[in-house]
Amino acid sequence: MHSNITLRYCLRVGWLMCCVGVLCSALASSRTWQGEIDNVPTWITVVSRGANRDISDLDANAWWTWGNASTDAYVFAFWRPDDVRVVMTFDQVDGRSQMSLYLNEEGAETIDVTIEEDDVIVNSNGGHPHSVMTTKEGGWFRDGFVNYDFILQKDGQEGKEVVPLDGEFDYVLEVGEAEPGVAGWQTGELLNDPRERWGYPRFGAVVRMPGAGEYIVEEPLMPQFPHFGAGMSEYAWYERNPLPLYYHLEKEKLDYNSIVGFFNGGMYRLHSLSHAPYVNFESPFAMYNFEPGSRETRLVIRAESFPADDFLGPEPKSRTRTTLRYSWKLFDDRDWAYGITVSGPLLHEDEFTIGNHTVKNIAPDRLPDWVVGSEWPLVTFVQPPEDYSGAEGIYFYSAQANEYQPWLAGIDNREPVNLAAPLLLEDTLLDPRQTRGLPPGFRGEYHSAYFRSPQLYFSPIDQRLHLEYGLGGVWNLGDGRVMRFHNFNSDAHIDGWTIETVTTQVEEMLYGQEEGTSALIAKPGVIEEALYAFDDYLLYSSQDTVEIHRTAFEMSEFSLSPPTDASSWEEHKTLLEEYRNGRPVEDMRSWLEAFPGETLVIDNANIRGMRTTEDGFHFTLTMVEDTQVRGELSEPLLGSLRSAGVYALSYDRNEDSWQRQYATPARLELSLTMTSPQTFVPQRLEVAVRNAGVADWFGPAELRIGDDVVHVWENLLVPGGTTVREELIWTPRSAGTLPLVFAADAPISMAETVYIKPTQRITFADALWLPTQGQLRYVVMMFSALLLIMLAFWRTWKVA
Amino acid sequence: MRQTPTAVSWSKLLLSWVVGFPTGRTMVTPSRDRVHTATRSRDNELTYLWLAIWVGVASGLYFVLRYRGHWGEVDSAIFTQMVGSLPDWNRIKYPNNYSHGYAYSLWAASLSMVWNVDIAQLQRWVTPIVGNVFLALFGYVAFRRWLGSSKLGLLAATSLFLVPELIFTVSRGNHEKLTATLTLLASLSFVRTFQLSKDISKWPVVVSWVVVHYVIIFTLVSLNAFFGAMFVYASLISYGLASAVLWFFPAARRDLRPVMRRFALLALTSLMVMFIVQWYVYPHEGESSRILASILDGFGTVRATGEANSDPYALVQNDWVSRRAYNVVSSFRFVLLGVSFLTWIVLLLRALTRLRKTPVERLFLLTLYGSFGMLLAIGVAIDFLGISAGSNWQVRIYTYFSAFAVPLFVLGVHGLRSLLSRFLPRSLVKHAFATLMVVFIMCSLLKATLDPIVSNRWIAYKVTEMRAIDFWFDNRGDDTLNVGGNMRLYFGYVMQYGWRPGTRGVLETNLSPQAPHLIRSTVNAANAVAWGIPVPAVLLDDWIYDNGESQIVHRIPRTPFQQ
Repeated sequence: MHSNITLRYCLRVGWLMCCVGVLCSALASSRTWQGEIDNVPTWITVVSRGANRDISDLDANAWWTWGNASTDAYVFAFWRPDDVRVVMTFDQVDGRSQMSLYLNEEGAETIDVTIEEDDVIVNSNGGHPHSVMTTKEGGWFRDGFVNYDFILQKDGQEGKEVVPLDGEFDYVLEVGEAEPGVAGWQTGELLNDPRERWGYPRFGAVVRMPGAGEYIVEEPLMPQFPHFGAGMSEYAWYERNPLPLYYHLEKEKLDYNSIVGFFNGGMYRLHSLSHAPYVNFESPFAMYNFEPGSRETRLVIRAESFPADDFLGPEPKSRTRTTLRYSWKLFDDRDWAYGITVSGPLLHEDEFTIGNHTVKNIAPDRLPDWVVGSEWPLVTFVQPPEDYSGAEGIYFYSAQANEYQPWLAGIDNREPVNLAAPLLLEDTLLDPRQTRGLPPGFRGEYHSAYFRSPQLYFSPIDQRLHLEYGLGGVWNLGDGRVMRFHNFNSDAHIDGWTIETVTTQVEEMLYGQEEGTSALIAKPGVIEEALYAFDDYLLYSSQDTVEIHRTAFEMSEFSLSPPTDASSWEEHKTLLEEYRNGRPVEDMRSWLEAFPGETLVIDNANIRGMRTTEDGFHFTLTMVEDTQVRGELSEPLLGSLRSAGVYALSYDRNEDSWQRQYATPARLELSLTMTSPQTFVPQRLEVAVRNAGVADWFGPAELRIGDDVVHVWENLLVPGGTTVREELIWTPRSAGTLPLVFAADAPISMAETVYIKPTQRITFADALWLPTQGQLRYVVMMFSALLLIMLAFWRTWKVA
Repeated sequence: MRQTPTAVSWSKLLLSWVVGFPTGRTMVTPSRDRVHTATRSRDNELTYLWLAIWVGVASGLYFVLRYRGHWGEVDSAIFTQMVGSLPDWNRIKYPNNYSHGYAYSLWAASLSMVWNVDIAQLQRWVTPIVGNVFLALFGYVAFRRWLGSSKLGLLAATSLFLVPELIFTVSRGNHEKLTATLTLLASLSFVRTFQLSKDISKWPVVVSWVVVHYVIIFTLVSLNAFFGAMFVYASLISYGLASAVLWFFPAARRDLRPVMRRFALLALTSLMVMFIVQWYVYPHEGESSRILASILDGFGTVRATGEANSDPYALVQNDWVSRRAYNVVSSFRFVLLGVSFLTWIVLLLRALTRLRKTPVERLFLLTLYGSFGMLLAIGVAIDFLGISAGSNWQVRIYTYFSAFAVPLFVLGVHGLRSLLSRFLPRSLVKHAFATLMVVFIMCSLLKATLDPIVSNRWIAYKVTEMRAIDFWFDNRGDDTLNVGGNMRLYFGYVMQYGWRPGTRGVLETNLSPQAPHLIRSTVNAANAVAWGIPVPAVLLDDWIYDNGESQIVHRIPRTPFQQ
């Protein structure tokens, strides 16, 4: 069997070689070169079409000298001489150069081709070319430079589907120059668009921004046609552009590469599901180098935006959705340093042209300033660990999450859970949870109703950059441990750091998976260590040690905006260079060393329940047996407290005084107020929870009446001696005397039952008048019809 | 003075009714040709015809007047929208058309254009009356031939209205008002071909009836590829049953050979007509094969697990105020099933003992009853499979079954009435039966109109509710509005305006964040109480619209981003 195949193969090769030989000897207008490209056996047959030139005597190695790029044809076979994968034919049309490119199954299959006397006949796909490239003027070169004014038309595409070639072009790509030999812009538009409500790419554009990196392109396979290559290259956009048409021998597919550029610095791209001018989806996707001429990318801005009522956008469609990922590098050109993500209903204000298209978006030159200068409702700030690299910026903990959009649209009153409690992902692999999670080493902060321009500040306490006015944040330390950032007094700065062990798991069914995927969620966990900064005090607590410093410190050493240009980027580098590592996260107590002053150290004690008050702050100090107290602050802070016990301590900044009280345990008293509740009628329910103890109470709680869960509090705080009130709306489902339950981990006193009056089902009279709007004549007519049919039955069954 | 019957006479009479039914001089022997309308005057027949039409008109009028024409339900809403689209496309196959048949859309759209009546109004006001009149008229003309008596034909025709499912079927706005009634006409053409073929001189009339039969079958299948072909399926099953029975009666088989030959020809040609429509006239993209595949899948699952996939009947009972109320309004179903089945057994036994003397239409009636009964049983089994094509097969097949159960019911009741008249004053018996039927018709109408007094699945809506939805669409564009826990208002909106929400705005029943507003109305609130489900918690002071009866409220507390 094997020998048969070998024999057949040899015969076929022999036959082909004979044919080629005969043709060559007879006409000498075609000639085949055999060699290797990236170690792949290659046969390139050059056919001199129509000119009747003798090419048999030309240099045997320089096959490209055998033909031209104006009238000849080139047949590329790989692996076997009869495995033709690419055919290119060149023509002149009205003084313009044209290249027709033939593929079968986009390069994956062999092309059926016949090499005739002075021409090449492609039999596959009805002889239709896969694409045709035509210069707008002149040849492939102008004045010694590559001519980047051309149009590339493609066949074989219907919407997002690959379809057989039919000779009608389905996609058109137009390229223009920024200067001779430099492609300045390109636009691509889908022509064959059979399903206008389906979401697939319809318009794309790339613009080379001023100051973009040097325009360097890979060497072409044949010098006379500068746009085609073949091989197994891995594209390195930061070094040079790949060739626009590249037959990739590993993928066995022809790649149509961006001509202007892609991931390299200075590129402004649009990738839209709708046609221009109202571009959406990934519009814009811009790369800035912050250094004129550099191909490196130091800032990536990637949008995911849809205007209001765009049927191609995700729900909720009725609100404008503009979301952006803004990531920048600082200390090396590989790793991302920081990122912000923003989301809100901001409109694209600019209208500008790219080639022959007008688009509505934010112009390339002012995009960074627009992002950083606009006021956004939802903002996150992310710092990845060192050595996190990639071409598209930081994906994680993003305001771009689809799950956050109902909140932003004002149609869901629950703040997205994963902002304060992100998922703790196991690694940086991308999955649908990426925008709501933090992989190990990633730190994120947020504000869910920001309405400010995103600003950052540098905290001297932990020596890290934070989101100014952030509501809080989480740092995934790995292994189920997090550092949580608190903003207790809701001002501009983080004032609490707690290291916690979290254990809460959530399971989600991810798209395409049949089983749920579980992950830890950073809900409040067990506090291992904590550090707080209020007024003049820094308070540290581990499980068994408390250290308090009274010292002068600033909450912010400096503020800065995310970098938008070369100068602000340099300023970032300069300011942050010496703080690249921040203070050690595993030794929070050492942070205090930078802030000497009056101290208090209590061994065998800890601080819990920290909160700010109107005039200062308040916490619970637990001292166990053998408590050791030392330091200058002992007397003013603790007074005579030395014995084991739980104490409530409050600091009043106005009086500069401490108040101490034995913390009697929390005792909750629940009272409900509602007026004549009845089934199925929405009720206004006033809940008042009073803490009769001195110690604060906080934790999850649930209010149940009968079988109904009326309300769930994720973390209810009832300070000692105070009453927390909340108004709820509830619709009773069951009538009668129902048990009242307030499930919370505390002693509770309350009424045990609630009486719910039943609501009667619709009465006969109401049912009768239901649709008649009280008009008697319709009721009379209805009864007449009823009487008629009753009479008819009576008569029928009596007579018949 | 009537004599008081003794125990012996009681037993004799009972026996005579059971075994010799119908017997005796005082009893009508409808199946006998000698009785066939010989003594009936033309005037009487006209009176009966008008009585039947009267019942149909009154029933249709009640259906539309009960809710002042403001009613809507799922199939009617879907068809209203589909019919409304047909004139835009000017062809019978168009996007979102009814995949099982084109004829209803064509018929209703034609009526709409000829009468210049808006399709929504036509569906709500006109076609229910037309459907009820068709039921009465076609029922009368068919049954008087099946039963051989105009009087019994009238009783049977009116008895159709005691089946609430039939009234609902012919009143609501889908193809069933035609498939159910035309099936009666098909049965008429069927029986006439056999009745008239006894007289060779009437062959042109016979041929005419045969042609009419095929035209009706063509129309039926064009209306619905499956339910429209019910009579074809039943004919085929009947032929099988009849052939099987005749196998044991060689003499009768010999006598009935011409009849059976004609029967086979009629049934098989009807089957061919059915396939011609399904495959060539209106190929419906493999819908029927998909249904068949899902049925087979369902059977496979049941066989593998040994458990039913669903129990649609449990859901049906939830639709009513109580089980007792459901039983009361459905009581005629049990009466019909019981009486028709007993009568069928009696007549079947009698026919088997006198096969050669039993009129052919009686034999056909018995076999068709058995065939539709088998189809009904299959429908119940399919319902338990929980297939995607619906879970109400039994209900829908029941309407066709009842059309052939009613003649047997009338024969049984007539016999019983005659029997009772021997012992009780005739007028008392007549009045008692008339009273009973009046009670049944009232129950039937309550159930057929899904009256809020007994039903939870209301079909009525108020104009004020529609005004509120209009306000929403006018002011909120494409935003989603929650319309309550069920689709009542959604269907109502389609029936009111003839187009589906979604082209302008969205109405939905899920309490998703995408629907932050909901409509509150007295009807919605009362319907929620009827269902025993709570009205969604709403913000009692955050109303954006109120017309006195219906409000649109924001059901989610204010957020920093609320618009």
